[in-house]
Amino acid sequence: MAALPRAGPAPAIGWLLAGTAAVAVPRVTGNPFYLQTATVAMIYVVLAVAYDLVVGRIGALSLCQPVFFAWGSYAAALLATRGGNPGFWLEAVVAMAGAVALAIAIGVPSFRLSLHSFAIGTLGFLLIAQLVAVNWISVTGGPLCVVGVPALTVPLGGLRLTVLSDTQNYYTILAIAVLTVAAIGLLIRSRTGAALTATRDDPVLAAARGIWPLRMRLTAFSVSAAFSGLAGVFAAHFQHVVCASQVDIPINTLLLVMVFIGGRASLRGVITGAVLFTVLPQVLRVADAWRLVIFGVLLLVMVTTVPDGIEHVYAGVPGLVRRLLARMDRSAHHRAQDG
Amino acid sequence: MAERAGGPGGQLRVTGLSKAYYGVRALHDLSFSVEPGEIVGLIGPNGSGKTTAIDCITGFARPDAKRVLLDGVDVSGVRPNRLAARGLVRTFQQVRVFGTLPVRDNIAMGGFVPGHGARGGRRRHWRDIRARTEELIDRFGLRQVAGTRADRLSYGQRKLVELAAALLCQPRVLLLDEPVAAINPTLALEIRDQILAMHRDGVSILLVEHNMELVTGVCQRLVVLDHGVKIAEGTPDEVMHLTEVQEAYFGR
Amino acid sequence: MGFFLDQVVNGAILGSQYALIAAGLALIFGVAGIVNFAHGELFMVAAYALYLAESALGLPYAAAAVFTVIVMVPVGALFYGVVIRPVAGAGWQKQLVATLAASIVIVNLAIVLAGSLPKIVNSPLAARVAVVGGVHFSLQRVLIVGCTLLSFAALHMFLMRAKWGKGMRALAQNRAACAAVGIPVHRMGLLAVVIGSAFAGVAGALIPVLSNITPTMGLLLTIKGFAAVIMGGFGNVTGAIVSGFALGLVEAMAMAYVSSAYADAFVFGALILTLLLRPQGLFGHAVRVS
Repeated sequence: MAALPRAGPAPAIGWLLAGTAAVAVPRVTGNPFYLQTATVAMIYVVLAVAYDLVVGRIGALSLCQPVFFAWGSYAAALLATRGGNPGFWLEAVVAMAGAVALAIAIGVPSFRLSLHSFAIGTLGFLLIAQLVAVNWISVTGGPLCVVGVPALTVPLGGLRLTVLSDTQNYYTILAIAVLTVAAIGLLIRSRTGAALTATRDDPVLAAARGIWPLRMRLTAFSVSAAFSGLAGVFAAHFQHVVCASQVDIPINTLLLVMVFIGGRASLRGVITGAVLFTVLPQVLRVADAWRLVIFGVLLLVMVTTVPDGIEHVYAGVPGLVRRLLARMDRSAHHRAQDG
Repeated sequence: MAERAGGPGGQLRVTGLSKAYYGVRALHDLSFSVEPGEIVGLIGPNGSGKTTAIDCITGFARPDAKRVLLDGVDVSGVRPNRLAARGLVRTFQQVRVFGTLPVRDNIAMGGFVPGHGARGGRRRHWRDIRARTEELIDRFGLRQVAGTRADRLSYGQRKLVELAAALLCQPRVLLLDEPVAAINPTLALEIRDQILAMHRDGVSILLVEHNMELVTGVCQRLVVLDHGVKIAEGTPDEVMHLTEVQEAYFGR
Repeated sequence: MGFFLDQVVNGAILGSQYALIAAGLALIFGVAGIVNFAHGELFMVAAYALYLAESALGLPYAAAAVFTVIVMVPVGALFYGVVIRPVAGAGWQKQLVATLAASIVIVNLAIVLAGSLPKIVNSPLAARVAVVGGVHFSLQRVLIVGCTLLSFAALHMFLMRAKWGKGMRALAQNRAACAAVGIPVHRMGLLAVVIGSAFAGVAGALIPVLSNITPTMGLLLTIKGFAAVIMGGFGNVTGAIVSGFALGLVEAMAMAYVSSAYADAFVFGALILTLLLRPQGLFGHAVRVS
């Protein structure tokens, strides 16, 4: 329970609607393409919400998020193909613990830097990770990837459940996404969340009041990395292959688009952004390079004009509803008078 | 993890504080002390290095040389947040609050001061913090705005919030950087009363100020700085009439 | 010994490239306060300009090189107007994302328009070789290092003597004060970007002769340029230049004596090491916090 009060009421209706819609997807469509798109969307929900913890909540522009995602994927793939396929739980533990270790290794030198330098420092680490992924062929297969990753196996009781069908995959990642959103949501509303906000808004004052900014930032960074790694575990089994291209800049670019247009430090905005920017490219079937040009232009335009656009839309809804209701009241009033 | 000694009234001893920026000497071999329960004023004309001194003492700036003893313990290399844990708390010349957080959260933030966890567990710790937060809200007359975001408050109200937040940290030595600058006289009187109340509670206070009324009315001892050098030290009566001090303020 | 000297020369070439980019980055950050993530892309654009000048316009190398540097001036101005100016007063996050977005657009436009296959440019100096002390230098390399040093000498004189140059130094020290006394902050920012772009033009006119031109060649360069800027102390142009050469040397040595695949890792390792030992960079000053 938080000693420091919440920052505002949670609009429960919206979440309920979103949750219902998410659960209903496989019932509404059996089309494998749509289902797979929805699955990828859920992967990005996890990644984007985790990424926003760093960008939105501690205000640090990290460019190395793909490192944690790829770590999770490689760990799961290698455990599944060469480690005796121990199943989801062990893979998750290895992925998340390893991601936290990576986050601390990257974070400790990087957070010493000024804000701008932090971005570049993390980019440097991304490139180092890319080098390792491409060149350490004995482990990662380099450009030839790790192939033949079997379907996800979840040991439950004495059974080993396999996640085979598209629907089963979708519900698995949906469960992971719900867990991520719930966990990070709770973190944000807790005292630690308030301390994170304090560290972001004024690290000097925070230090003067007993908070160690580095520890707060590392905490957020580690949590973000852990959930990204978890998403990576799922992705490896879902795609059956893990390539060095997963440690690349475009994934981070996409996350930036989702967070900056969805709304920094806004759970509902970021989730919407994640879904929107997974689904949209499938709808606008253009070549990869053109798609990135469009994203880039969109990002540039949004950042200079209306950043955090989607969250503004959400924030404006209650006001809009109120005005609509007021107008309906007035017209009903007028009719009563005339009649 | 340092265990907080009970009760207010710490002793601060600063020796040999020196700092130069780009070849300009901001502080030169400054030494002074604040004895337990004292209110000491650090005064001097603009640019004399007062805020720099506080920055260096509290770990926000790295001086070229310093030795800081808090209750006899050398804390020269300690991080700001750990200094707060040991009871050395400061306020800022340009008032600082967490703008997006409500007043209540601002004040309670000091609950994060490390070292508290040792006593009686976390749940009880935060219950204490909540209780003390409410007390401080009432004490500073902030009940009406307790749930308001700090960036919606007036400048004077923010000063009160900052003071309350500093108090929540249970300071043994409190460094106040221009607590009544740029506020109306009524509020200045209120803050003066709060400072005197803290003094009665036994907190040692170092007061950096320009407002001579406050300084002479409240401080037991003054340290006068000019261009980073201590030019006088003594009671207000002794110090204010010295020629060096007059010249520093008004020129020759 | 000859091998070692070869690596020193390689280091000087790499270093020239990094120093030219880093100088532009440091200038833009110092004067306009903006971190330009798309700076490497300016180099890439210059390289393609050189290619177009040679192939489409049929110019001989010397003319093409001059054309390239000149054309980067309006390119820089355009970049300033579209990307930098709109976010001039906004928070640093938005500025960073804006230049990052610009980088993405430019790289992918290049992929779409020019294709991913590498292009080649030729220079008559590449074939001509000079022999000094048993070491072979292609004249192109001499040209690269020579023009780089000339550019920096010109920049130095500009910053020290010219009215606008002194204004830029003042701006780098204290923006608020400059705005208050009427120094045209925005025009200075434009000038800084144009100079940075011109430097990228010098690099783009000379260096691609030694290898080839691809759309993504600028990305790694931006990061190494930043590594040099950070190492040199953010905003400090001299520091950036010196660090640029230092990093070039580190990379050349690493590539020759350790492993060419992981050479980049050494470059970043050098940066990380510097920051751990001296967070404000080699030439920077300790920053005041409150």
